Amino acid sequence: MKENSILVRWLNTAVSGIRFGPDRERVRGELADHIEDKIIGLRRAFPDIPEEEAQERVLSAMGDSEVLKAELAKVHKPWLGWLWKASQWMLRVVMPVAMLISLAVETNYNGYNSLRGRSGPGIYHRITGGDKARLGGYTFQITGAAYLDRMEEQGGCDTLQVGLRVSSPRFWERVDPNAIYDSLTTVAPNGGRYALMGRMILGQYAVEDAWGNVEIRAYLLNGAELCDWDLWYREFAVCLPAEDWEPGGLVTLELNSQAGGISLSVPVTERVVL
Amino acid sequence: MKRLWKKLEERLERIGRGRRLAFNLVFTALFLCLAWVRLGCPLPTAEMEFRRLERTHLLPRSEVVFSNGGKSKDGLQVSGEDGSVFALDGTELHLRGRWVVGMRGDRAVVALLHRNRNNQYIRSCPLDSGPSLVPLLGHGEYLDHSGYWVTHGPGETPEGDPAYVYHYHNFAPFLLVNVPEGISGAEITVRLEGGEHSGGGWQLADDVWLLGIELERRLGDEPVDETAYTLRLYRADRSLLLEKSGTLGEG
Repeated sequence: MKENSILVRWLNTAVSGIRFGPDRERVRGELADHIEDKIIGLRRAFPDIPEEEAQERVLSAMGDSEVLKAELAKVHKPWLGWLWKASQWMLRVVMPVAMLISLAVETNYNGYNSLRGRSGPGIYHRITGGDKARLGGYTFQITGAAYLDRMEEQGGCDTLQVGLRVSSPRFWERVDPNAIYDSLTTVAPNGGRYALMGRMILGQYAVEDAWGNVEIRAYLLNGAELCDWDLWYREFAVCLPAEDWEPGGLVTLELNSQAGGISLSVPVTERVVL
Repeated sequence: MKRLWKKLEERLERIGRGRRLAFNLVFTALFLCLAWVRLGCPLPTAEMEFRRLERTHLLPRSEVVFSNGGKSKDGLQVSGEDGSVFALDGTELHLRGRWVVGMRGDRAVVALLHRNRNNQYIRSCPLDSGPSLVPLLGHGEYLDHSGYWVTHGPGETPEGDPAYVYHYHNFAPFLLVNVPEGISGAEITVRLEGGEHSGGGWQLADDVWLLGIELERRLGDEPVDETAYTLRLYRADRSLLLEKSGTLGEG
């Protein structure tokens, strides 16, 4: 069907109340298709009817274009359409820029722009439901406890390892590891106290591979190190000498900062042979 | 790929516009968050960064008594990272980096802010009940010339030709807090490398002064925490009000 000027004028008037362009075009198309279907139907029923008359009849049956214009304007609010278009463009711009930034920015090891990561051997034996406390907007929880049994032939010393997770929903201010290292004191089952004060004592042990090559490895003998992190938490492996340990011996972590102090305890029952 | 995209578009067409708007906004927010985290979660103001440093280092909230966040009037700072502070006599003092000092009870908190959060620094030091020195030190904790002020005027080149000369006076800065009323002059002397190095200061507020020892290079290999000092405060008639000795970093 050729669109003539009467039909075009009718359609333009009917949709002119729709202020959002894409909606206006869509509704115009739907109306045009509907009118065309009506005309085809009429000509099928009355094959002798001229095309102009069929069009006139259909347009007359559709009603006054000004009235339709007002009705369509009421139904099609522009603001939602504009918002949606704007959000489409925003997403199209933000997504590649964010991906570019994410790939281009150098990730600092356990730094503030690292989303997640791991370091070192991690927590050897995890526990659930460990002692929990809150301080300064952070939640401190014990997440692991084990007696690490190193082979004497390798030259290593046995240690006790406790996992400490510090979490917060405020991912933009994860706890600084130095705050933990400076304020943590560990208390061994035999009562021995080790104030970390930012220090780490490393031990060494020798490992021989299948070809007889000996590799010297370092391990944490006394202190804490960041071993696991995510957007919502940082987890530390806290180690202390395992003198006089017996299964069930209690290890206590005391955190004394200027913002306050907490104390968390865990019985160490699990033995892990390394 | 085209078929897949067309199928996705057809599916999206069936979802209402409101839902599609919500979907776009949520994903835009997520991607913005991703970019923000990857940039190190920068905050808009120095005070917010300082407060965050306090919280992440488990320090209680302090009252900010010093910040070199002023916009330079002389335009003579060495780097865009430097900040200015203005003495009551109008002297513009520049410090390398953005410093914030807070006080809470008998402790001061000194923070050095940086665009790269991994280079930021905060430490806490004790304060005396009377006038107390707070050294503005960076990570190295040695006396370094992190402050400077500039004089300029007609002069001459080394060859003797007339020229307009800018002279940068570098100094190791110390904040003096809890200063009593009626002080018109202050002097600090430190003992390093077998000798004594002295410097005066500028009043920034009623009870806050910035003292400086002019340096051209880092002094000594001893950390500041082991450096002896003498502080002298003078009245308007130049008589000595107070003389105090101690070790830097101990209040």
